[in-house]
Amino acid sequence: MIYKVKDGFVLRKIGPQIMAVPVGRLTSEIHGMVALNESGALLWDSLVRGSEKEELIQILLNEYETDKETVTSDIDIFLKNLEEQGVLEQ
Amino acid sequence: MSACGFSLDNGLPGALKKFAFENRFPLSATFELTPLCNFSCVMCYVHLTKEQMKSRGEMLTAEQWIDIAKQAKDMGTLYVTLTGGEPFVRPDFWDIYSELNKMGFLISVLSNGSLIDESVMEKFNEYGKPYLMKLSLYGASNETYSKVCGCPDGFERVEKAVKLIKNAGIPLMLTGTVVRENSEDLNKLYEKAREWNVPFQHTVTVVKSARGAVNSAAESRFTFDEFLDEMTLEKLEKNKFPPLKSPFAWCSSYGCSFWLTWNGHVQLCSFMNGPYATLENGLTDAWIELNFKLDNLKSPQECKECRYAEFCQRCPGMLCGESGDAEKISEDICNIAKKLYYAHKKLIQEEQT
Repeated sequence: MIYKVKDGFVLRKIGPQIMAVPVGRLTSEIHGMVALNESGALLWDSLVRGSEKEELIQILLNEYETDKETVTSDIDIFLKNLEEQGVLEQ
Repeated sequence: MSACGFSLDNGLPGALKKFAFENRFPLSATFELTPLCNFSCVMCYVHLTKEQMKSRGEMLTAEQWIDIAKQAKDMGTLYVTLTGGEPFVRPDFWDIYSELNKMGFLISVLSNGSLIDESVMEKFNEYGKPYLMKLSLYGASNETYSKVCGCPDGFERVEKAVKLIKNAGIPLMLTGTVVRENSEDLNKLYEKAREWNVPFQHTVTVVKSARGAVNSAAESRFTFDEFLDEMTLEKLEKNKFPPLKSPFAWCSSYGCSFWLTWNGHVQLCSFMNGPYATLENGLTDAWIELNFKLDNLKSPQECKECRYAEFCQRCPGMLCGESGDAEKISEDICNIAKKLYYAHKKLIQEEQT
């Protein structure tokens, strides 16, 4: 399954905080901004292009010294949140 | 590795503001697009006629606003408020708005609401909806709008705007300034806001015109004496202010926000027309210059030894609006503090006996 965020986000870095701000017509669907932490921001580019979950897992495993089980669990939570907030394409 | 993060604004604005203040960058900016307005409100301190405007400078062009916005984005600005005058009177409003929206700002629009119709909603659908719409509500009938704003169908128009904005799902707030001309409507304003299910806040604070506008603040605003009887000991205790460590100790804009006037003055807030910086060397330089000037601003000498200081709600912006100089006291503000001090003393004595 491909996970992809909707078109129409502008990524902003304000101080230490990275956030995706919906612009244009997307503002009718999503209000405000999507705040991302470091690992969320790492995944964002892949999600803009569209990625399999396995690819996302690999990105974080390459970046952090952690096990696959923890990464998978974190990504599941992250994707679920994005989906619930209408950020992901169906 | 930390858990992957996701939130929708939760707790972020406060934390970002603290970070912006500590690192001195403008997290928020207000762009005062024009001093022109289709209303002529008795208490307005910004509104100029075209003739008055010409004698006080030139309005920044759409291209200039867009260029400034790009610089602000690079400096870390997230929140941009578009205001006026009435921002929708600018024929090129949408050129500015659409470009700012593309840059990823969270845009608030402050308007009197009278020019908001279906075509405005279509533009918002096309270019992006604002983060927040803030409309002024100055009366609960056309008659009151006539008296306060000189607009005979003002209420009808604003009511229509409220409904359109609500139907479009755009977050909306209403604010009102209460003066003699609309004071009888105050309860009705809250009733209307409840009926529309929109938050409403009113103020009775009207600052004298310090920026060339001609208003009748002195005649229209309420004097403090008219509220003194409503003061309870509890209210007074709650409104006591600790000694000021700096002139900006209570200011939520200082060090993290700027106000850009229609003619290109970078200043702290709408009231505070000095000190300011200009844009000749770009926004970053203007921001540094403004903050340097503000850092060197001093409280009036009289305030340092004033026995009424803990009841004085002064800020440099109010002083600037009232006395014309942020470092000079205003007799009106001093008198209010003095009256509060004695009202407090009297209530304490009454409680003891």
